[in-house]
Amino acid sequence: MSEPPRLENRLPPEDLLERDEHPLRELAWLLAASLAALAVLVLATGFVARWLAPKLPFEHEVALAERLFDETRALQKADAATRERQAALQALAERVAGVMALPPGMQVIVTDEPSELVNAYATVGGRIRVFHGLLRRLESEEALAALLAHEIAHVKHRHVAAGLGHGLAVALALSVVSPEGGAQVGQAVLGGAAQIALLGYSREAERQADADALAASIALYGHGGGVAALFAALPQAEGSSGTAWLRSHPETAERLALLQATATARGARLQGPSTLLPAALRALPAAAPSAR
Amino acid sequence: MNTGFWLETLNLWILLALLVLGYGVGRLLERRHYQSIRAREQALRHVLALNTRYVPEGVVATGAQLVSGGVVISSDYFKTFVAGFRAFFGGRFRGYETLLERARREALLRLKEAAQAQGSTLVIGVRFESTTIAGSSTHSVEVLAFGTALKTA
Repeated sequence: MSEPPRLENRLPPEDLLERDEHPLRELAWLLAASLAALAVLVLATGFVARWLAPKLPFEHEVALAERLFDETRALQKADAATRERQAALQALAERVAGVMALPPGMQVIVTDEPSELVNAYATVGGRIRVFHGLLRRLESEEALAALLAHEIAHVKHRHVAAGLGHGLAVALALSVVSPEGGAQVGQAVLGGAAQIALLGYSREAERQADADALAASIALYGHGGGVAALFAALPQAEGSSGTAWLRSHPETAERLALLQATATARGARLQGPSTLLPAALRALPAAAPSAR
Repeated sequence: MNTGFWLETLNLWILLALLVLGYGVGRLLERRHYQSIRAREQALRHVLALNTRYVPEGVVATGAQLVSGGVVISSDYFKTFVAGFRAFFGGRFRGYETLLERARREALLRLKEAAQAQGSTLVIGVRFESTTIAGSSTHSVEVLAFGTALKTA
């Protein structure tokens, strides 16, 4: 007879809780890795979209603009003075566009905004908005033409499409993580804050627009005085409200120096006779009491 | 800091509060559970649970009775949050591993307590079953241990 086997249950040597990596440490690693992955995703999609969007035909941009902005109805509601202002702006813009060799089928539509911000921007579908705050500061037709030429250049070189594509791609990438946040960014890009999202053109794009503006000014008036006047009219220092144009654009002094150099290289003058603005644009309605 | 800032980032603060709550309370409960498991395992050392199908050699059994012990343990907000990231990157669900270990040991303890209540100190044929409760909407795990408690002379 052999001895019966000894039966036993041994206690586990240790608990899993003590043996494992600290959960906060684990979370920190996971968060860092996620953020890095998200950053790479956003940068990559943004970059690809910025490269791809300008390759889309311009008609698609126009179709998008027609969905976004209800211009015909806005014009019906407008009073006579507003219509006259817009007609004057549009006429000048078409003269400027005439010397800028826009691709066939590309048109710009200029409207003014009763806002006292010193600002102007180009947005989808060749739409250009000029704020009253900036119009008040411009004294000559040449300066306004230079401003319009600068914005038309953004349309012509498809900077608007690139910026919009970039913004929407970032929104799409973000919606992978947070549908709500992504939708908010997308709405901001397409909706009311369009100008803010689209202001972020690269400095290279701004230089290109400045160079085009100078070329257009010389072609129209024989001198670049309008561009110089435009830069002089822009706010010189940041800080006060209404300097949105400055924030998104290269430093004025830097732009003036570059303008001087380009003008000299082309053998053009930066001074010349100036014409008064059309009457409709000189008589702006009084500034509404500021909301801010 | 104006109220607008706090309102806009409200979701983030709620998430942070839930995470802190889940981490703090969840970890406290987990520690206390482990302490309780250790103490009771020590106290129930004399009750044996084996997974043999037959009565071990040398044991004289005069009766048998089915005993079982089940437990359901819930995850906490922190564990579930971390697991969400894990599902993305892969790797071990460390938080869930401790959850499952606790459930397994607790179920076995309850089985032994049931056996002891019947005056038995040997359970054979012990098996474990595990299920998730209510799918993925509640992150919880159920472990059931069952076996045959022997009446020994």
